[in-house]
Amino acid sequence: MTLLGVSDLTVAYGDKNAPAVLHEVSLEVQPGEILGVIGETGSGKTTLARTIVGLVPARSGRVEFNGVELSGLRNRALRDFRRRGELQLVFQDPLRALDPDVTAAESIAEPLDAAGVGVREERVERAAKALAAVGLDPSLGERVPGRLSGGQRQRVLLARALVTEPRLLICDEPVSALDAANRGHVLRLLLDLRDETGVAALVISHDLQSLSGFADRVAVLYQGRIVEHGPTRHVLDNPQHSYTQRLLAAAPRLRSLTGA
Amino acid sequence: MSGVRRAGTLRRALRLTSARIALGIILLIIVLAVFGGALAPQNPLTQNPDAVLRGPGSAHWLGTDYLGRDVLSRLMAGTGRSVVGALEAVGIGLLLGVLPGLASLWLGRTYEWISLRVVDAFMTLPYVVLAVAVTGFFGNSLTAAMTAVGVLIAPLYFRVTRAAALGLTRTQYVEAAELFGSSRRRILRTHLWSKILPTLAVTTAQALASALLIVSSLAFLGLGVEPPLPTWGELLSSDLDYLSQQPWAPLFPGLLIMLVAGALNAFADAIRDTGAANDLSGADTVSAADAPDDLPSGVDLVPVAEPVLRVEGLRVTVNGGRTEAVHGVSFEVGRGEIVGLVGESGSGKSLTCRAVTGLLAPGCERSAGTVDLLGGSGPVDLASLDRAGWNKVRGPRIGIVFQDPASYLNPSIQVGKQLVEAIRAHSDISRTEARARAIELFTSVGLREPETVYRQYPHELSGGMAQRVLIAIAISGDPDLLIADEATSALDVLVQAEVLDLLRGLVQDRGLALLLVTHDLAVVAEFCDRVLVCDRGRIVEQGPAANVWPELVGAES
Repeated sequence: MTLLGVSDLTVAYGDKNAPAVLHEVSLEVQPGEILGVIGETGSGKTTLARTIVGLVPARSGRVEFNGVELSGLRNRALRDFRRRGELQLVFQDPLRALDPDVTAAESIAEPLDAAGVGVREERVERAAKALAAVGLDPSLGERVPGRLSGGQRQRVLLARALVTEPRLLICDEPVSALDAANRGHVLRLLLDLRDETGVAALVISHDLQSLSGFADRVAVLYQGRIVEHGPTRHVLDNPQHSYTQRLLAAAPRLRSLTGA
Repeated sequence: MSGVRRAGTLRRALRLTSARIALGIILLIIVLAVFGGALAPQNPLTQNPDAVLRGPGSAHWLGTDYLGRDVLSRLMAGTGRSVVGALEAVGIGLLLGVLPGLASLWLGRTYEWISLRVVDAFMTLPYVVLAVAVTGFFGNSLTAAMTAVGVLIAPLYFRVTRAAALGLTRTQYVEAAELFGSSRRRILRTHLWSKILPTLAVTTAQALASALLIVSSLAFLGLGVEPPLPTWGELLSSDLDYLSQQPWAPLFPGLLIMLVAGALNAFADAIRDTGAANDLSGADTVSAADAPDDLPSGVDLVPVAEPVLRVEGLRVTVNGGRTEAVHGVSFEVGRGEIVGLVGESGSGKSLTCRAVTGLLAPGCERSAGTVDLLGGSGPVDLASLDRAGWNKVRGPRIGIVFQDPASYLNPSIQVGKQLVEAIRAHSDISRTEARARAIELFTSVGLREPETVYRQYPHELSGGMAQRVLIAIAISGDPDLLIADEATSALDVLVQAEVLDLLRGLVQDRGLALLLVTHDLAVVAEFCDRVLVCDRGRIVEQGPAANVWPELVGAES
């Protein structure tokens, strides 16, 4: 059964006459699958992520998760769905997505606290486990974000999303703020998690090479439309759309360098 | 957590002499408010027909009033009622302002619209008129007058609370909390309170000062006065009746009111200024401190031909001086040169960059070393600059471009106007000339249709365009040195290449020195004349990219 189904999603900011940011976008994610969505700054990538989780209302189209139409959920039903934590968004910028006054451990426990899972000790324990799962020392849990490095913060963000044992992660540029070494670590981590827990991921990126060898399939978003999609290798080796071709042409010079 | 943070703000505020003096005065007034009546040398109500309107002397230090009562004793005894009156007003203001202010964000559009109109209406109401009405209605008592003042302070709290909370509800961490299904009460408790409270504390200090002034003005009109009980305002007004015999008399209560209001405002300023510094707390502040013992040894300073920036033996401590994270970094950047400062997150490159630009977060400090700006109009020791000094240097001498242009642009002002402001901050030219220069600058940073861009707001620009605008602002003061802190990291590869080309052109055309701080080795290898590699708080390698990574640059050709 399809885990996430987005069909004909159109999104615009502002009134009826405002130009659409996303035009009839459709995509699917199967359980345990990693789908990469690639696009340049301003292509509507972040809007796509925010619309799927319900931070931005859609003008038309449907978002279905595990057979439930999310776009139809309101108030109580929406809150109950969110508290189950089956769908988690990993924000792009951990400095902004983590409260600067709240320690890493408290941040990670927040989804559990919000849902009122178990007793406090249990939540603390699960937060500590999530911290370990992303490869961070438990002592770092006591720190506020300002006292963590960029790579550590990104892992805290990931741990917070994982703590509810979600079935799908939506990652908005999960590694763009990281250096090459940390980038590799975080992507490796996502792959391992997928193998261990079967979590699926929709990974948004502007960086083609970070998706190659990582995503099972990619969709190319250009000016608010999906212009190309297919198995990753297939799209990389045989790009059809001119934008994908340009993107690939610009990348090799950088790819040969960052790999080292 | 919030308690820890507030204590930190208070401690930082108290480093300022003005804040310490202000706090001393406030504490003194608190003591007087509680014990003033008991400490007064004489009974403030005892009349003495034999000693009316005496001048200051040994028996009555501040003289006596028209009934022969001791003025000093009345001032001291009146402190309590004056302070309680002001607190009463502020308390009512808090109650009527804060909760409706928060509610206006969450109770839907209808409530929001109505509450905003009500607040607007109250803000246009003169306080004297309302105070007269209220005291007319409830009787002429201090409480009635203060209730009126409280009602008029409420809109201030409403607006301050609403504005602070509104900004916070749009942060990603509050959005994240909503996605977890957190209740509003939980969001308020976890994420909003600790950040609104310092703002409310500042507002309260200012409101107390205003309330004291207002209660005195009202007393002058006879409102809220309950003879024979003294308040500062009552002393002020009764003295005025005998101004011809005792021209100095209003001086004492007047000075006291001024002193307290001044102290409260100075204290509020100190909290606000040091609290605002929190916003600068930035990336990569600490992890370099976790460096293990096997530290690489740093390289020595390599002199260049025409140095614009010289950093020597720079050490930076974090954690309020407990840990050293940058261990003696030295380098130079020369005119017309592009130098890349690279390293992983936590290598100390951001701390170094922030120390050079004077933007170290609170708790981080330069503990040793020098940072000098050379050439141009004479050398400047950046390490010794205060805020005013920095204002003279940022712009005309150093331009800075950051990773996230959107957060450095004001979302509600056209970007052209923001550039004009930057231009006019450093040169004495007319608005029209500045506008023409802004268009020129927009053209020179490669913005097509500069006239259109001029009138656009930041949200209407793409990431690449916003970065160009920020670069235009950075070079508007015609600086010698441009520092780009991860300026292209958030852009996609095509736009990144364009912006880097632009920077290279600027270096060539203007003879700028460019320090490029980045974690992207590809950018450095492709783009920089020289590379400084940062590792665990030291510069471990430096030289042309081809020498530092022969294998990388080899792969390119």
